[in-house]
Amino acid sequence: MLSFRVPGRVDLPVEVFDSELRLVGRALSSDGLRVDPGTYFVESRLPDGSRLRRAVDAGDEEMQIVDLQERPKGLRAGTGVTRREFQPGPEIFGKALEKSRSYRARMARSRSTATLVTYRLGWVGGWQATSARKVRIGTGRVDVGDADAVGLRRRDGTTLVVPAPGKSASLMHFRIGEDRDGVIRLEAGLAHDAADALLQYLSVDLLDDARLMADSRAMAAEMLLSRKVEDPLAAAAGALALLRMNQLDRLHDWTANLANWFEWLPDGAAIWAEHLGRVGRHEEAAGLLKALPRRGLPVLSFSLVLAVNRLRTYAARWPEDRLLDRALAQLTRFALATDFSIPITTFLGDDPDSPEPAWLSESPGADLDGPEAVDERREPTFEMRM
Amino acid sequence: MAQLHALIVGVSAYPHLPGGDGRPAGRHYGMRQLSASAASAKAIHDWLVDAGPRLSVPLGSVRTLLSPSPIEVERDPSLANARPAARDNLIAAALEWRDACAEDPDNIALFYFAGHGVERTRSDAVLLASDFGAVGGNPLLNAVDVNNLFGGMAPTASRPHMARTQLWLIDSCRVFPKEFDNFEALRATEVFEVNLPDLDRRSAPIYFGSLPGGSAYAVAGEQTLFSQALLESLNCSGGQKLEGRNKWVVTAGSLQAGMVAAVDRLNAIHGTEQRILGGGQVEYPDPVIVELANVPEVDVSLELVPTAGGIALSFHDSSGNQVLKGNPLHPNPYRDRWKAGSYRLQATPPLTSVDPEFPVRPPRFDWKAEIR
Repeated sequence: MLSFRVPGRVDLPVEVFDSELRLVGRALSSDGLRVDPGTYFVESRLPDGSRLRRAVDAGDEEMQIVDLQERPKGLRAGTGVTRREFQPGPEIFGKALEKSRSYRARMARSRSTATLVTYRLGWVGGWQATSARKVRIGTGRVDVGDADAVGLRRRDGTTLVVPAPGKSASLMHFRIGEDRDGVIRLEAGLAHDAADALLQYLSVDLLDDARLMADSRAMAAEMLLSRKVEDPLAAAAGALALLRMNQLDRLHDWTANLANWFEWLPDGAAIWAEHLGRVGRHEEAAGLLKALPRRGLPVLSFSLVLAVNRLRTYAARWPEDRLLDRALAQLTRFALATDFSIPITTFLGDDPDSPEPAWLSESPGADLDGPEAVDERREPTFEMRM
Repeated sequence: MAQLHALIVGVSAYPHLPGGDGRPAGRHYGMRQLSASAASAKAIHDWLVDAGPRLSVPLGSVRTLLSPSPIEVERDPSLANARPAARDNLIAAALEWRDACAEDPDNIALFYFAGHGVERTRSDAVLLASDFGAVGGNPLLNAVDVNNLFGGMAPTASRPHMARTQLWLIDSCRVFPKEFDNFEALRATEVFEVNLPDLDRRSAPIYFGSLPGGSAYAVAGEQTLFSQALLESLNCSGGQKLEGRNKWVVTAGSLQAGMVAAVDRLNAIHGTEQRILGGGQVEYPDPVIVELANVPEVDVSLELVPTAGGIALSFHDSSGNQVLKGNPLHPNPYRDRWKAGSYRLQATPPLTSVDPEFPVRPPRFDWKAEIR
């Protein structure tokens, strides 16, 4: 039996391969995996593309610990090199992420600043900015109080906005970061470590890992049929993972509970609507989605995608229903301005009610100069029926 | 018997956009001619035909629509023989394709589009047919949207045997032209009628070649980076050995991981920012697409930081053959392609507490070490 020790606070997905590189099994680090005696390679993939990796000779012992965090004394094996973008929340994966350390060091040295703005939604509608203060990137997490939305006004005049309806702000963390091109960004994540990790795996399409994360004890605790769900945002993340992997049988009726028990969380309605749509209860789903704009903008960008896509289908199916059209138009305004590579809904806009799609300044389809190709092709048949 | 049915569309030439040979569109929305989409689609077509028995199900049909640019035709005159990727042809081909896919739930449906696209969400975009801009009025008349296509391929009461495994490959830009006034109210042409399914249990991932607001890149007159990454993944970097099986295969899930690794390498070569973004829904277990012809080669990056003398290092494959030696490595980082397999590090004098064996497997192997 192999058991795994990983860095950080989160139960990580682990894969075990034999010496022929055949997959032997996948498990969460807390679960362990039973294997026959032999040589194995153990790997854990992190959302930034790096891997924790150890070789192990498994014997007949009842329990053998594979340490994915301990560094050998002589030669220190690293965890791989960069991917294109680094998602927020690196500290939950512990010190194994070397890029995390260098990233934090770079942020600490930076003198770049921006203006953090918090907003509240007034009783009669309309957004009011309740605070605005200069923040320096690399200062760690920033306190946003009980804001209904958070904005980061940058020196170039653009503003990034993250919706935080109801109690969302207390279930999230915010920090000011900078990507490798020096563009300041507002990095939001979930306070629930396992759910935050799950979203990161989903956002980079590591679905095998996301599936295991969704099965973790930490996630299961949030997804129980109980009114003691303490973190509905984490529960929403779990539901989105199950929807992405089409595991409808596991959703039962708690998507309805999520929507009904936490009306302040728009994601609940979007998720429940998607669940209903997948099982053919389309009129109910359409009803939920028509009312979604009144609830607000979903906090998780995956929820927004599902809502917009399904609304578009229903608006085409029932063109006479003006409410569907209106809801679609309202949400599409925000979708066009949202960066969907980020799991937390983040859009460009002057304020929470004024999204600004990224404008095109050049023609698309940039072509590169390439070498002359020697291209000898067979005479093709363009339609083939076999 | 289950089969794979493909609809492949490649649009480089847009006659009504600037540089085209048709009547100029009233508004071109900042878009211009492309030069590699048709050739890229052709490359995908050829791969499917050549893959033959290695596909997880036999190839049943390939419907390919191409609108090539002059430079592409110059390189490959046969491209001019294909049906143009105009809206009506696209609709007709899509309807035939859907009927073929709907004959058996074990069928695999594959859709590939390369050409201009306009963003909507992570898993939706509007795809422009070659006759985009031919008429006035609704600017999206000669365009189709992925959401309608995807929705129309769901299993319904009228098509209960629709293919349960579907691959959607959208190789287009997703920038948002500011000239699209009131874009959210515009409707693209509906290819399929909207029948709502009773239960949608498809495994249907959607792979986009760029982020919303992002560009897709191509080597002029040759191939898009997305299609290069796709083929690299189907041939190599998407390979894996499944539980209890000894063959190298590419699944719907490993396909994307392989594409991401391939596009990272292409970005490093070309200095671009091409991305691969996934959407849709994927059921577990991951469906197999194709078996690899050979043991895959893997992009390897080895780096010693800092380099320190006095220790001789060498790397050996599972047969004991030396594949690399030196400390420091030349160059450092050292980059190469090695056959997938287990490798061993030998050090003189020996290093204690070292993991000498490591797996080199797709999509890539990165190794960075400090020597004390």
